[in-house]
Amino acid sequence: MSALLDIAQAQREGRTIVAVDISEMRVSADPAQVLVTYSLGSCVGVTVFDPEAGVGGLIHCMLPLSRIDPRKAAARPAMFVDTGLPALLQAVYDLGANQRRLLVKAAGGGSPLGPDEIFKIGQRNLEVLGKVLWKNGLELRAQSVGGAQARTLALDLQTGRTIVRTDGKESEL
Amino acid sequence: MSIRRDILAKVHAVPPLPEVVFKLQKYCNDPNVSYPELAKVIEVDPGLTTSLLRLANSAYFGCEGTIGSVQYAITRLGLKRVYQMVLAVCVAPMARKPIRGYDLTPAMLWQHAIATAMASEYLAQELGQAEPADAFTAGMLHDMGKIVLGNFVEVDMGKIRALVEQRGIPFDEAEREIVGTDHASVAASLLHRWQIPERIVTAVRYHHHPSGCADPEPLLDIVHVADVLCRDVGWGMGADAMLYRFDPASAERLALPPDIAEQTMAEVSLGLEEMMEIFQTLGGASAPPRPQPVG
Repeated sequence: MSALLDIAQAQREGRTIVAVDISEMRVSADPAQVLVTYSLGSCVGVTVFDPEAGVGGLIHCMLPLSRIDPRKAAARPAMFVDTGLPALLQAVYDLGANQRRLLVKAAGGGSPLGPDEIFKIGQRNLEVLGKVLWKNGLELRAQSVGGAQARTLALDLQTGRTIVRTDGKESEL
Repeated sequence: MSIRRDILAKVHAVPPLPEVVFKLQKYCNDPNVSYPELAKVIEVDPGLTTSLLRLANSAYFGCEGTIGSVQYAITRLGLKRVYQMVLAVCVAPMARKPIRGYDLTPAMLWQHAIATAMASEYLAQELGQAEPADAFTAGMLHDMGKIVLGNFVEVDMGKIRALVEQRGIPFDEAEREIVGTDHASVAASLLHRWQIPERIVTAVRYHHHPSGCADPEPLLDIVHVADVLCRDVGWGMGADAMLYRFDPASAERLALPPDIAEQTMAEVSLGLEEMMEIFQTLGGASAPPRPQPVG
């Protein structure tokens, strides 16, 4: 497998790397694009892809529930899993993706070392992710979650491959 | 010479802060200080003056577009705020460089520094247990030891990372085992050299384990919690990622209300973009703000 996240190589191959920041989402039907999000800690990154329509998307959510700040959720729905994920799904459906064909994968939801951290943001992000997917008739096809490592997550719009990089090593989800 | 002594010697290889920082700090403790005189101390440096006014007029510092002079900035924002901003302008050029050993690409250490500063300040305000300006400063400076370990010392980070992986120990513990000290202690030495006030140096020294301090003040716990939250979010995360332990006694001592962690993260994330944009355009800035993939 070629190193998809090697930007220089991707550019030589005529690919466009589209970075997705924290609390952002991107959707696309352009096979030249590779959607990438960096530094997933307790945040959760989700990729969705419809192989038939060639439509996909990536979101980087920071927090589980929008109820802690509805004003921020209105301004930045992608900040929260419960507002961001429905927005992502709607956006790919608008581009022609179909719910029955949609492949959903996730990475992140990590936490510091040991059992003592009390905030459990990563764990709760994953719980809310599961609930929102279930409500929308979807399930996770693959995931790379938990642990104290940072992750990079990418979706290749050409092949539909979802790639995770941890500690410099890339693997396909 | 032991590695530890070698490292402490390297602390002296880091450039000192400009004289203006020390002068301002001295004035901060002087109740009879004259504001016009103080403004002059800053205004002799046109670059610093421009940078200070950009920061003073940011939405984060609450005076969007209304501050036209250094003296007015001091009157409106207070001396502590102005000191804080001058310190930020002076430290930024050093902290916005890539930090090799920790895999921090350009501006990532600074992003983590500013995020932790803002989170610390927010927690201090919400909890009312520490001076918000001190919290900002301590949060901003807490990881500066990485400048020394990552760029001035040829520490073998591969060994540290291998040890973390093999034994599942926190990154700072592995640092102590391999090089005899950790980035928090090195930061404290550096801040001593920079003549930063002692209460801030103490908060920096214990930022991974406030309970290690015999009598931890709330400021220590606040900076610890802020650092953990900013690592969780991934602001400026390098090779050490979230490979640290949380000190649960910190949360108990602070009696953290429910949802405070999420409130802090949401609050910081909005202000952080503006701050990073401002620092990108200030003097000495050269790096792109967005982390780029490595290797």
